[in-house]
Amino acid sequence: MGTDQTYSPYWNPKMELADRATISRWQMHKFQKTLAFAYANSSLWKKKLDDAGVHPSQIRSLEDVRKVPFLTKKEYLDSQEQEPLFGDILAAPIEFVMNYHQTSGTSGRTPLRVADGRRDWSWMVDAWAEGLWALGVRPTDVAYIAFSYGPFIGFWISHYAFEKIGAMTVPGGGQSSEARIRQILDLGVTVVVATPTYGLRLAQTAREMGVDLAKESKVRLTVHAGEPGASIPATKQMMESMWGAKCGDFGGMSECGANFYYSCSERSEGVHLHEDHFLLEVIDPITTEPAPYGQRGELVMTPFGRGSLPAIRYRTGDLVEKMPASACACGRSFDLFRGAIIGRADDMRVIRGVNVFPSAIEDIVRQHDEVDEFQIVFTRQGFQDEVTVNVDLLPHAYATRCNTLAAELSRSLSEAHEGLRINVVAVEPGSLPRFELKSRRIIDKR
Amino acid sequence: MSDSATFFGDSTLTELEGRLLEIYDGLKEILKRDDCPPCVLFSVKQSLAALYPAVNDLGLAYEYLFDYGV
Repeated sequence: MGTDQTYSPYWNPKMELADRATISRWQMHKFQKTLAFAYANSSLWKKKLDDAGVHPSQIRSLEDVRKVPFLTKKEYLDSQEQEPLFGDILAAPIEFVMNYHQTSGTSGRTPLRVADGRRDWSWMVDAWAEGLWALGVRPTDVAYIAFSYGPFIGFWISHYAFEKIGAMTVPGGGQSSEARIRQILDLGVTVVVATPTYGLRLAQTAREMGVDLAKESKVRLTVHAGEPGASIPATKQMMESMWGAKCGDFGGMSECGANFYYSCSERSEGVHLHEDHFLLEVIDPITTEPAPYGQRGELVMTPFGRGSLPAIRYRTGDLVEKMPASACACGRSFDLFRGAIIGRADDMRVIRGVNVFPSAIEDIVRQHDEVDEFQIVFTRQGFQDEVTVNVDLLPHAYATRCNTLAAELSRSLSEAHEGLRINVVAVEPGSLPRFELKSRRIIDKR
Repeated sequence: MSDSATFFGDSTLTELEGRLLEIYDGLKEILKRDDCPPCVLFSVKQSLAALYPAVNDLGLAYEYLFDYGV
């Protein structure tokens, strides 16, 4: 035991290679137990189900699941505001929760708080480990977590997942980007974990230090979560080129605990759904009817390991498109999301009748590696909505071809948006904000 | 004994699965005792939490452990 060759390529071959009927049976069993537990222990869920006239015993098939009311983020936050700290959604004795995290909070509201007991935390770590293993992480790796280790749950779970696998796990908190680059080189780091935005920022910092990470570092994998980006083709290509490493995309959110999708080691157009640990539904956001393979819809998720705060049929607001497992050559039975999170239902803007997704803009902007950072600004001039992309160029590009590049980008963006005029402005290098965690690149001034 | 040995439709457990369940259930038994000093109590709680994903991943048990303080 112990050499890399002796390990199965699958963390849990029994489940990852199971047939669809087995996966569905297992999901149904977990969903029923999750719902019954929530009904018995969470006053929010008792009221929600009673109001809907649904008793857990009536949910006997995946078709029946649609009778269970959705949970929204507003309900979650309202619950916690009305009954601090964790709201009437809490289903566990408070003395048995041990891990506290919170979101950064939006629009002046109280942050969303989450708390996990030992079993739940162990489940989250295991789910992350399954994804990391699928990407190719092994005990011989040296993992660097480029994360501030604040109250946001972010990469805390991944830290413990690397530990569980047995990789040497390096906490990169509380340091400058330059210091982190030096550590990555000095320690022979093979896996780097960061948000996609910060992964690119770190690589750019290395360039500014005169370091070519693709040649001078041992990094072979980069792991990204916290925001979409690592599955946006141009961003992924830029990441892989700058690091000389395979780029993996992991999706998670505070409300649901573990990661709900992951990249495997194959090159495919999608990321695998974590179907052994979640029920992941895709619905038409207007009609709430199920969306079939190939149709973009809103992700609704039920995690099977968060006992303390049951997020059942949680409307994420994330837009996804499901495709069958056969689209990936890795052999796993879990379906895929093409391009991971395509965007957020509330991020999309309709500008003069054209749907504008920030992720589509990013995919075009990131095809130009002279663009160091960017920002999308929506304004209203008179009765007309306008969209402007501010690009923060590298100094040499700004000095030599800022007008040409802005014109090229504007043309490409317009062509990708049915001829919609999209203004591009090259701003002073270094003038746009940089981000370590979730980027905030959209400004709506209307 | 955990009540969920055949969620995958298996009629019998493998030898490895049987051993895992035996240890898992053994840890739960220890947590029912009232003579555990803290060094035992919290180590066993931690061990049960650590073992849970193995039995859950293999479809041997899916349950909440708050009754055991886990």
